[in-house]
Amino acid sequence: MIIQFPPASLRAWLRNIYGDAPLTLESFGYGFGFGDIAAAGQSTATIQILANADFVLTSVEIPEAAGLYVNFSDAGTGEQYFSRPLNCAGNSPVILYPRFITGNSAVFCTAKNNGAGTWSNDVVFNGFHVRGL
Amino acid sequence: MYVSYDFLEFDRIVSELYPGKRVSIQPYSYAFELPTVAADTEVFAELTTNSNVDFLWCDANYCNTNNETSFADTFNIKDMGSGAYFFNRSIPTAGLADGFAEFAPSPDSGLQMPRKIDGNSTLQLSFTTPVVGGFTNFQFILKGVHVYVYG
Repeated sequence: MIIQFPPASLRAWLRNIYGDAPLTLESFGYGFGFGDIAAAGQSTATIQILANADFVLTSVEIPEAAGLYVNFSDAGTGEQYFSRPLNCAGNSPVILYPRFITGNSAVFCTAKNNGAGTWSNDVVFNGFHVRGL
Repeated sequence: MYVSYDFLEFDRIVSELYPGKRVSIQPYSYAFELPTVAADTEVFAELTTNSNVDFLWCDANYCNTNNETSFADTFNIKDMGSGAYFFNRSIPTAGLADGFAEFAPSPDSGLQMPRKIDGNSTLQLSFTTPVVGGFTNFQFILKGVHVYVYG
C-alpha cells in the first residue's frame, strides 16, 4: 500500500505538536554507518538527532538488503520500532505514519547479515528537521 | 488492489475509534517468524501484541532468504482470544501481502481499511506453501500503527 505524506498534511499534523508557532522545515537524512558486515555478522550503529531541531521520519531506505535483519530503538526509552528484527529481503521497512523524534535523541540500529556475502551499505532515515520559532 | 491514502486518514479513523480520547499514533510492525517452512506443508506461528497499546493493521510483507515466492501460497490469521479468523478461508498471500519486487503482484496491495487489534492479543498465522524446497528465514510482517490512548 502507499501512504502519502503531502506537505500540507504534514504541516497540519505538526500544528498538533507545535501549535501556532512559526515552523521551518528542512529535508534531511541520517545515515547509520555500519562499514562492512560479514556474512552471519551483526553490528550496531547510532545516530544523534541535532540538538536544535526535531526530526520527522518518513521513510527508511536500505539498499541491497537481501538477508539483512534490522531493528531500531530509541536510546532514551528503549522503545523498539518493530516487535523483532525485520527481514528486509526485497523490501525496506515501510513507515505508514510519520515518526516524531525529538531533538538530541539517539537512535540505535541493530543489523544482522544473514545473507551469503558481505553487506556494505548504509541504512538511511529520510525525513525532515522541524524548528519551532 | 490499489490502496493509497493520506496518513492523516489514520487520525480520522482513530478519532472515530476512540471518541473524546487523547491518542498518540506511532508506526510499528509485528513479524511472525519461522526459521524453516518445508515444502507442501501448513505451518503455524504466533505473536502477542504489546499489552499497553492497540494496533491498527494495514498492510503485510513476507520475506525469506531463498527469495522465493509462489502465487499458490495461502495464509490466514486467527485471533486466539476470540477464535475468530480474519478471513473465511486461507487466501492467496500474493493477493494481500507485498513479496519480492519481481514477484509481487502490486506494491500497492494492502487492507482497504485498517483492522483494529486490541492490545495483548495473541494472533496465530497459518501459512501453506506448495513450493518445492520450502523456505528458510521466513517472516510474515504486519505493518501498521500503534495507538496509545490516554485519559
